[in-house]
Amino acid sequence: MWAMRVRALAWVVVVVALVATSCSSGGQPATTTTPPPSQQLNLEVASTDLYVGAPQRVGVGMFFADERTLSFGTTDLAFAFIGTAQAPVKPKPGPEATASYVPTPETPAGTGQSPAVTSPSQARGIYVAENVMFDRAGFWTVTVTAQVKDRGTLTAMTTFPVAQKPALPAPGQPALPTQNLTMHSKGVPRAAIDSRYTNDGTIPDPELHETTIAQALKRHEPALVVFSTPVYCISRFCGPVTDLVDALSKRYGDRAVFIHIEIYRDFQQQVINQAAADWLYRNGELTEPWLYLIGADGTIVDRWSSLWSREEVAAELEQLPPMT
Amino acid sequence: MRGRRRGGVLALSVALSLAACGGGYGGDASTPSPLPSGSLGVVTPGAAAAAVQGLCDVRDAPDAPVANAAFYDRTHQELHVIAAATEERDRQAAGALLEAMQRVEAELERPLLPGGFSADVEALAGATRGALDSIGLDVPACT
Repeated sequence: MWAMRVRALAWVVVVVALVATSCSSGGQPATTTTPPPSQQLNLEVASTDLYVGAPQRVGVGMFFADERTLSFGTTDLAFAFIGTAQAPVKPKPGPEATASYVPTPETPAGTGQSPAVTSPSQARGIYVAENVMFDRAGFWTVTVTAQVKDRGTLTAMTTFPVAQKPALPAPGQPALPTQNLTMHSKGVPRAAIDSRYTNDGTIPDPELHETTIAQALKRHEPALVVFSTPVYCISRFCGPVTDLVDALSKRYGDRAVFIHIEIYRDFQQQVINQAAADWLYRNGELTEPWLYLIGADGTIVDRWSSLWSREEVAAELEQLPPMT
Repeated sequence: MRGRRRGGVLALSVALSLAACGGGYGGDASTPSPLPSGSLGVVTPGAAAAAVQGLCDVRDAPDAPVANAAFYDRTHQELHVIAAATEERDRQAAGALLEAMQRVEAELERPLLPGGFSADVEALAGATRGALDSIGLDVPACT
């Protein structure tokens, strides 16, 4: 995606086939059998802009070649450092973490059961591990191990990059005083405020387009800001994350201002809104969606990429005092 | 007001660059043309045809649960793959596909299918075939 392309997620996909081997005695050569697509487990890292030295969320999605997915429960993640492009090394074991299932909004979260293979209509989501700390920049592998209902132990591995520093605004940094488009912006295409305007000529949640980040900062108001393109998302994990933020705004409107920033000013002309570019466009790439929580003092409190847990975001909003 | 005037949006326009794995065509008669591809992978004729057939079944679904299953299990992900590949060559066609898809997805979120659902799915099928045409694939229309 990318020299000016919006990449929904920066993936490095390694397909790990579950290989069945048969061995026979007498020195005869072993044979390998490629499993059918329904048994080939693919792993993708859903998180982007991972960097050294800070606890972060790492999300992974697992799916089979026939598009069924792994859903519910928890999986175990083991990370290993494999060096840089210039200096690859043998895998050096790193952190381990347990990842919990985060459903795409409006899909089942599960009831505490173990991971299971589901069709997309039954469930779809990712597994997120919290507080993963990387101690060096370069390429890392993540191996996921899951105890899957009716399948036993399944594993898959993939590779992803970790940078020395975050490319995008990160927790602890000051928020950019962005003048994003709002319902009050004049002379701009309505679809540039929310791409869903193309559906029926209306913007479904105008309350998310009332305030700019700059205004919130000036008024010393916390802000929950979602950068997303509900219509033009191209990702395996596209989902109604914007709707989730809108739902949170209805419950926690007294704790923060809620802002949706559409990615595209004009998708067909490949023009990004300036606000989205300021926050997310780096080195010819832009990843979305992103969710940022900005404190009343203008400092970024937290951020999420790809998919986020409603409960987790709500818990952080509840820690904010009511706005006066 | 002042903030809003100064804060007029500056459009950032950047030229496309071809994906390293973008689909290309050409070569001599002895060289098979590569399949179209984008950020989400390769579009195969079989997968594309299956996705369009899935839309036919979504259109004819008797109720929301059946429509949901047909859409998400048989066509949704492939539509994203097609859109990603189409985006490399024809953003208008990719945009039309994504817009039509979002319309159908929004309707599938409702407990009951709205009256214009079948027509919207038909439109999505048409947009899908348009996108496929732009990347050199031809699949049958819904019957």
